[in-house]
Amino acid sequence: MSVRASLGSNGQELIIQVDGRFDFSAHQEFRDAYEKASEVRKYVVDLGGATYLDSSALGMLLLLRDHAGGDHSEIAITNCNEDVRKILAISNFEQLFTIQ
Amino acid sequence: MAAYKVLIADDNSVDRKVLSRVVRNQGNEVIEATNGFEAVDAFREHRPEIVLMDVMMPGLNGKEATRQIKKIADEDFIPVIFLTSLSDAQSLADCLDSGGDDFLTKPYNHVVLQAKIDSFHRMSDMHRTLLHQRDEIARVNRHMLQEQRVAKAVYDNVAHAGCLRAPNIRYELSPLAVFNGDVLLAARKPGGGMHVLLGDFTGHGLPAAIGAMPMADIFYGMTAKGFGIREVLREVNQKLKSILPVGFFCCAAAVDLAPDRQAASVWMGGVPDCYLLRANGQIIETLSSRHLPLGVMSADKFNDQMTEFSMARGDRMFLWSDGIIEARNSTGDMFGQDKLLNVVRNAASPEDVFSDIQRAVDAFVGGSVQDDDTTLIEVVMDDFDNTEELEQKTLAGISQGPRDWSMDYRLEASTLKAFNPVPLMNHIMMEVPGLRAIGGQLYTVVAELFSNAFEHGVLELDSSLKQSPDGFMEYYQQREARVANLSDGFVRIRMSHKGGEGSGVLTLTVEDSGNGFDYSHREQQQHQGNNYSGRGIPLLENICDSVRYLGNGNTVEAVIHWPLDQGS
Amino acid sequence: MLDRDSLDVLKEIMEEEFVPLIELFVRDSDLRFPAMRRSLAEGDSEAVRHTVHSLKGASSNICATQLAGEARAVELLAIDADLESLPEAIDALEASYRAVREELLTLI
Repeated sequence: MSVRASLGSNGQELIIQVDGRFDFSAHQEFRDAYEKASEVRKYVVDLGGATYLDSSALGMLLLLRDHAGGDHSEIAITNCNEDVRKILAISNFEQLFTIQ
Repeated sequence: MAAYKVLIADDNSVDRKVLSRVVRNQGNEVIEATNGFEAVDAFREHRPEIVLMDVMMPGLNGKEATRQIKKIADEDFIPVIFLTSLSDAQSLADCLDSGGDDFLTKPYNHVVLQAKIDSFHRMSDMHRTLLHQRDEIARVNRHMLQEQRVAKAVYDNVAHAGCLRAPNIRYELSPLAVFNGDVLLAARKPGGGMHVLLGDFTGHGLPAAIGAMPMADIFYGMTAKGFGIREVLREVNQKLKSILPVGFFCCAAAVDLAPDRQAASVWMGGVPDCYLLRANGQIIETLSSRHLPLGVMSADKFNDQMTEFSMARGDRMFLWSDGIIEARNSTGDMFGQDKLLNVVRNAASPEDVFSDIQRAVDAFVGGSVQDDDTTLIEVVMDDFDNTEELEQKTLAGISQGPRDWSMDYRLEASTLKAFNPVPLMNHIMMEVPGLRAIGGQLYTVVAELFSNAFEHGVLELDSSLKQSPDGFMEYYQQREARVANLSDGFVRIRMSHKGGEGSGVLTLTVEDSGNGFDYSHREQQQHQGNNYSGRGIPLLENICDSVRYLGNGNTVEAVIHWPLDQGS
Repeated sequence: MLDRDSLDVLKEIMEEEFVPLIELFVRDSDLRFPAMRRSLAEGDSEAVRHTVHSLKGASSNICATQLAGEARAVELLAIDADLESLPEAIDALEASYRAVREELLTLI
């Protein structure tokens, strides 16, 4: 499991890449990734390398959304594989995030 | 330099004397023994922190004395350094096996000895700290387990106030620890039928179960008072949203079993696909999650939309949390949705499905420890003959509720813009035990009367718009616009109740500030899709003993006798 | 015969107990040889071994390194129960001991 953060689009977009199992062990790193970034308007969570998502990962996404302004947040979850997509679909997270 | 208590066991007086001086020079206290027996006795009496033991001694030799000393020391770490001549170093492995920790060769080098003593003392300290921490952890753990046992007892009382043991329900809740994150609730509705709720809280243990208690309380309380499943869900969602931290939620499946309509309404948020198996065993309907889990959405965004399924006698619904899907075997594979569907499909008969699922999961998991919880419930549509029993109980409690009362509630425009009084009216009616049996119907009556009064009387909307799909959209757009611009008008609700022994009369009058209508030709107008028509009024007439219009048509009076089969 | 440097260190360590230590060594060791011969007469090589082992240890601690080495050699004979070679070996050992004894007594 690894979490990498990078800035895109002239510093206004934060891309957080999560590889491996996205579970409770990612908690601190995931949080650090977005808490340190200021002046960011958009977020992209790239799950291209993520093999698995559990309920604590869903919780972490909700925490990010809360941090990013709740209903006014702009968060896209990208590059989901079939399993990850299924988990997000069951929880109907497309109602809260843009899933690409 | 610290002062340690050192036991020196050596039968050779010269060696003993030299060693003793060296050790005392270093600030330590020395206890001497001249043979193995003396060494063991001296250890027992003085409990030194370190032992210097000559290997070859008459009587009890050094190795055997060491074995005995280590046994007496038990959990404490008491280092034993063997004293030996260099040429005997070959047999040292043998010595260390009997519990010795190091050796010191003759002639004794005081520098080496000091270093060894210090080093072992550090080790002893570390060992002591470890033991202390271990004991502390064990103590705290015992304490916590005890607290959890108490909490579980409280939780069990709250959660099991319902009817999971009803004849039409089979269930399995397998706890991993003292608490699991899964909840199963079932309660009979006063008017017949049942509410069932399966919940799966994020996480495990106490934090996961903490949300379950208010949820169970709300579920049982509201269901007993005749509230519909949608209101229950709404309340539960709001409660969980307010008490759970961000990121914590409860995946749930809720079912409203309505035997009178031969139907079941389902709400699923965050749980995997569940199934409804028809009595013939051939048809399987899939119940899919359409909503976000409970505790995520704010009240204004919460979606309480149910999905309705016809459900005849003998049809059965299977609900589970993701614990079953994610049950793992020893190689780490998950049971999976496909396998589950196959078990349902391949069962010899519908009655076998429940136990087939249990067996299949047990066989798959084998002896390995599950890392999630397996929760499974089967609900069969039944006749629900027990409503009679319920009514008896309800009637017995009539003397406890308010019998003779009336109330007058008037809402002005400014209030009508944001406040829906129907739940409150319902709550007041539900205080009458005798009315709880018809709670659902009463809710419908009040909702219908208020809706007519507000939308047609005050907002002056045309209900005929609702006949077509496009019209529906337009109707609600108009409604939104008119509510936003509302500045005048009122709706007045009057309720009065008179109760006898085991029966009563409820009179509901709803008046609005609108222009009314010509109700003398109401029947004709109904067929023409007039303002005050729609499917609402005939429904009211089914439930109420009488429905009549007063004034200029802007007042409706509905009278309901209970029990329902009494009266006119 | 005596490791003088080590003996100086030992003297520093033992301080006022240095003289009693030397006296103790002499008293103890004097008795070892008669004991060895008695055990030898009884054919008890194991007892010989224990006695000469003790002498070996004490000798090394008193900085008589060479004597300690010789005692080791006698110990090996005793371990082998070489009753034939032991008498001569013990005699030779005693001779070495006497030399060491004399030197030690000059120090106190």
